Amino acid sequence: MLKRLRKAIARKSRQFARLSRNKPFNNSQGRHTKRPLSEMLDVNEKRIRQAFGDSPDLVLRRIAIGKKGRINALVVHLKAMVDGEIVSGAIMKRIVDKTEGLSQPRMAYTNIRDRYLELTGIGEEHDFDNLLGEITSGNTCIIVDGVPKAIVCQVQGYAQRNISEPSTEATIRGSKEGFIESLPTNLSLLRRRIRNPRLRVEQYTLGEVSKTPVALLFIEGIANSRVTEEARRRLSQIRIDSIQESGQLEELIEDAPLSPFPTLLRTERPDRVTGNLLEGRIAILTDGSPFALIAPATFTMFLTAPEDYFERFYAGSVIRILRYLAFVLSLTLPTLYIAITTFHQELLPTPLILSIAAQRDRIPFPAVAEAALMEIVFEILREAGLRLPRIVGQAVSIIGALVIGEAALRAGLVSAAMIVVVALTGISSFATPIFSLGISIRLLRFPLMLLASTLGLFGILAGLAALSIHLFSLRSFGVPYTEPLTPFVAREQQDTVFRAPWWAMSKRPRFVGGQDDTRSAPGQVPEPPVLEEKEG
Amino acid sequence: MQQIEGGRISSFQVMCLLFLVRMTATTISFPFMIGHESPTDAWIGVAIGVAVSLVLLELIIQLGMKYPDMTIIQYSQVVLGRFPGKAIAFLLIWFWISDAALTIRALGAAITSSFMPETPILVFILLTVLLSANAARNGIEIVGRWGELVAIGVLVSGLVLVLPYRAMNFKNLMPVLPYGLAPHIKGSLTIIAFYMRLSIAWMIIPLAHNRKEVLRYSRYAVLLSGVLILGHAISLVTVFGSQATALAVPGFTLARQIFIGQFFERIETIPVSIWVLNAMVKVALDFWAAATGLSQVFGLQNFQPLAYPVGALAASFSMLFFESLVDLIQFTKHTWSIYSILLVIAIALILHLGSIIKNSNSRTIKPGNGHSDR
Repeated sequence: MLKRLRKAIARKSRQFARLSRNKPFNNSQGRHTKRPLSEMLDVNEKRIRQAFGDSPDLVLRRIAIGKKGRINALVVHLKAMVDGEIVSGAIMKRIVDKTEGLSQPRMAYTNIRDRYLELTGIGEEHDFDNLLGEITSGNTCIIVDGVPKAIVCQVQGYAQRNISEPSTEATIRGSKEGFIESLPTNLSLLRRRIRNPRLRVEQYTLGEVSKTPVALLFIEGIANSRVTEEARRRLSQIRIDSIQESGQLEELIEDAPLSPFPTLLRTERPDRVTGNLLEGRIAILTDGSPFALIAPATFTMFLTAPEDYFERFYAGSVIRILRYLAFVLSLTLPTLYIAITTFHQELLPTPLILSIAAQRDRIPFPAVAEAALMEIVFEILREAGLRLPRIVGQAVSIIGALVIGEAALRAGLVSAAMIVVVALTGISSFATPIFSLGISIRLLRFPLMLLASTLGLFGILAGLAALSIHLFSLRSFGVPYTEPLTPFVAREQQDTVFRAPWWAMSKRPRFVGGQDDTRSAPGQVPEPPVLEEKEG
Repeated sequence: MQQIEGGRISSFQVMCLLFLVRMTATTISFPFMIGHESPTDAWIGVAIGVAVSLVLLELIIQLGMKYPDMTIIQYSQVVLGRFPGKAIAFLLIWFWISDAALTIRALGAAITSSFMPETPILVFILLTVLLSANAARNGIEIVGRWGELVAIGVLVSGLVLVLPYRAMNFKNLMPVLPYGLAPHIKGSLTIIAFYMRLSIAWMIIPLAHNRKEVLRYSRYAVLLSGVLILGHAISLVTVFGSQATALAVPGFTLARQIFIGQFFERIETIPVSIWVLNAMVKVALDFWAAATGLSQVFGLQNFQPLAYPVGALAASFSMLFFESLVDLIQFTKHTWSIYSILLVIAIALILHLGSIIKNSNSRTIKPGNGHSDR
């Protein structure tokens, strides 16, 4: 059935692609015939004005340049997209001042392009549609009357957020920088961490309407060429009106679109991206989204945090094991509670089961209803806590803690043990470092609870077995999802459940494909200097 | 030769799968010592069985290694010709399906009798079949990965043999051989019979990455399971004495005897869940072998559509064949053990002979079909 659904989805997407190629989304874009610029400035001006529909933020500034101001020129840009100071100081003023001795439009044009503008980013455009693209991405264009070309000055300057600490992936030790919404800034964050020309950036423009810049990053020589080739293929197949966030991109390129598990890792930490690039993976950055996508992603990557690598390896390993434990708890704790109180009371020590039975005696619901009720309440609280305005936060937390916890207990709605279980589950689920995995676990808990209430521990076992069969069948960009655990790769155990000390991890993960899998020279165990024998 | 199954597994996974296939009978299902004439030294029968099986298994695995590029379904037709080959293929497919039915029923019976007596056995049978058929449908790679994890779990659960150390009494092992060796020969038949399940290696050897290692790893699997089975027998006898042979599900009962400290008790659910998974992997492998075998016999392009039907067959067989747990035990002990030994050994011998004759006839053309690969 899944296959049929997948086929239907594929068919729909092909239809959409065909549709979007044939029918332009608006009158100026989406057409693939070339429209060269006119030699007449008036024509060009009219066409630009038409294309933007007389938008108030479109600046069309006509200036007179050349000898006695005989040559007409046009400076075009969008108001809030460019750095105004540069445009007036470094472009307008210089053009007018410097071209005074020139009478030929072509002469003026080439001189402006090659000599007068003191900018690093200068381009040239012949095609009208491309020119519109340059304007919309925040460049200033200069058109000279009589020349069917335009100079493109890259003077983008728009308001952007400052680099701040990543809000969803905080660490104690390690860099405090997080990605922001601007692609150039994000690229600079990565370039600063890997100062090597082998860090390759390939730019794509996705979205027929939005024209969002998307960058594919990898390190030449370390990344597996099959993975990069596959990434290129998937990115270039996308036909959609717009890409607003990398989550949208993720759904369009992931391996298992119907699986509850994410097969691409998303992160807002530059150090996580560089770490993964150095292991031979690829990263995809989207303009307008502080989340980078990393592929191929394996299951254990979702349970690692940057601190594992920065703390000393004992702490790093123990914390990681703790996180695995929390992951298992967040998935199974409520289900175990249901199964044990309903079917397998003998599994608990006698005093504990007696106390739970005494509490449950007053509760009118079966354990599964009780657990489902509390879990849903908890999920609502969490969702509300995320959305609510800061000012009312206190009120909600009082309601959450007092009314739902204490009062529900006193009113005999739920048992105290249940509240402990729900609280533990909730806290454990926050220990998953990557939000996208945590969210799938939250979803999967409910069917498991149903299984536990009908079949007890065997139900949980069956559910988990089904889940693991599904996990084993997943692949991310050709790499088995559960890779270092099973298929068991002895060499990668250095960084799976335990994190070996850095001097012991001399090899990169296996899927790199043997291009260059040496991470560090072996035998770098630090040793104290040998003391010389005491004299006398 | 072209394989229908596109997946490949490592030799380590082959070892894990073979190990699990054998361990199922010890951990989850059959009270293999029931009705043994001399309970106190039942372990001697087990030891004899393991020793004999080690020899017989060489016969089985070596046959697979003779044609490392083909499954038995394919090379039985090469060696014996089309129709005799297909007959053998059908016999084996029947063997796998009925063997799966046996395991499923035993698993269901074990769970209902010791954990959930009020739930009908059909529920467990259906769930097991659904899960295993799903895994089989996903292909050998998925079964292999699953088996890899579960096998490690089963190895760790071997602790169950040591942990009830308080209840152990080594005097239970005495007297040695009060009735002589003769009754143990018969007792060891069941042990040998369960080892015949490793004939499933005939299907997975051509899918291993490094086929040269497969022989070594399958020997490890046999040895490892042999040690664990012997451990089970000794542990059971030392803990339960002469009652050991009367237990319905000995593994479960043994796990119940673990008391460490004041609170570390009643942990039998942990090993038991691993053993349930063990049986599921084994059933999945049976389904996969039957489905790929069928598609190879009929020349189908894809085995996946056959996984669920094979599972449905096995599920209905498991309900139809046996009336009760006692029936199941009697059948396994008296009928199935002899039948499976005869079937597997006969097929192995016939194909060995066939290949020798074929090779000696065609020596002028090509020196052996599979040997050149080594």
